[in-house]
Amino acid sequence: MNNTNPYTELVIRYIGDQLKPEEKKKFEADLLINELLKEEYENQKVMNTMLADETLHNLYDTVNNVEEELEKEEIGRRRRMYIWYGAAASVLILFTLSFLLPITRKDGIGETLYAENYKTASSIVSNRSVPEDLLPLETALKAYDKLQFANSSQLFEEHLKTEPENISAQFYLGLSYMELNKIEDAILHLKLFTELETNVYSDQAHWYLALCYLKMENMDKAKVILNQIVSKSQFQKENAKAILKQLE
Amino acid sequence: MKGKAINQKDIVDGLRKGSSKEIKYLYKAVKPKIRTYILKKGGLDSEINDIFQEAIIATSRKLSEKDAVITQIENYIFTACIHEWNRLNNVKKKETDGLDGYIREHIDDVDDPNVEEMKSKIKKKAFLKAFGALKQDCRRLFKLSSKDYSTSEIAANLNVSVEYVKTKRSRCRKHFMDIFNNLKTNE
Repeated sequence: MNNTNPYTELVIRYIGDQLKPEEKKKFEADLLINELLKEEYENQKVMNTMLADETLHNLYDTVNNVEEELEKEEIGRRRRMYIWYGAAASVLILFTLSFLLPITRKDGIGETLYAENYKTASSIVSNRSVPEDLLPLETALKAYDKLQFANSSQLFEEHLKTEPENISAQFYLGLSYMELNKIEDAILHLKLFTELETNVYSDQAHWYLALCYLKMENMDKAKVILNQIVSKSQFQKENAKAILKQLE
Repeated sequence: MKGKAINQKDIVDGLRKGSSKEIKYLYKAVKPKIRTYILKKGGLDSEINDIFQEAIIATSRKLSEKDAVITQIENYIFTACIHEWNRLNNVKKKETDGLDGYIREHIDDVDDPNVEEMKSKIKKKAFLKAFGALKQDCRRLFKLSSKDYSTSEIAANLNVSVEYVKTKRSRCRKHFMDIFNNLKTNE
């Protein structure tokens, strides 16, 4: 609600000696009979006394300065608090990292272990006879033996279309994929050997499957397979143990 | 309260003289208590600052009056602030009552049954509030006037024209009186 006095400006002009003589005369006459004008006039006299009171000005200045000073102190206090919080947070982060670091290091170790342990397996072509009726497979194995892994993988795939349960094709297709760095595809084929009855490829398939999991940084699955190798197989048993130790 | 406690008499003397040391002490010792109280009651931080500043100014002015005696200064300021906050909140509810409502609120809260004296107290409070509500540039202008500087000296000091000082002074006075008249009737 706006409750200004209609005579405020007139009184200001009167006190400031800004009225013309006739206006001044009328003002002084009205002052005797107009209560509202008189009240405004009296109030402005108080106002002017206050506005001219140097002590009051100084008091307000002091209070404002104190408020400003306290605000600065508060800002400083908060800043110091944030610095402490920041330092505490940094210590906490470093402390947490000191626990996480070994895990982080392990996160990258699979690739290293794969590189250290993977060696291209020789094909059976040279030391194993291949029946006459398996000529397409022989061709594929020869391609593998010549390190033509793209070609060998195609030929193994072709062969598996006609003979899906051929374990030689499955195993070498897995190895061909490993050579082509198609690790997920390799796993699909090598994993079959964990479900099949023990056969001539079982031990090697487990070993290469474990390496595939290491390459994929899937340490849990790698450990499962490596433990199976340690408990059931002689092939790469010592290497499997060594890797497991490094994964601890 | 952090910091060294000061003797009540020293605080009273310091506040009477407008000493920043004692005023700062009171800000640190009393304001947090008032803040806790008002915030608990659903008040705002902005209200606390205004109320506390007014209480400090009014108490200092009161102490400068002849025969003014306040012994428990911290309690006095705390009570004055709480009383003012409660009054403002009651008045907010009854603002349509205008000046009569404002006076009733005050008379209900004090022992003094003298209405004229009460009106005078209310006016004094409203004057202080209007003074406190003046903008910095107006305050600076009147502060220079209070030091007996002439209009031309003030103009030179502020690097403005004499005409500007006169116009500005009139506007500031009008602003002061508008605030005062509104406070007097609306609060």
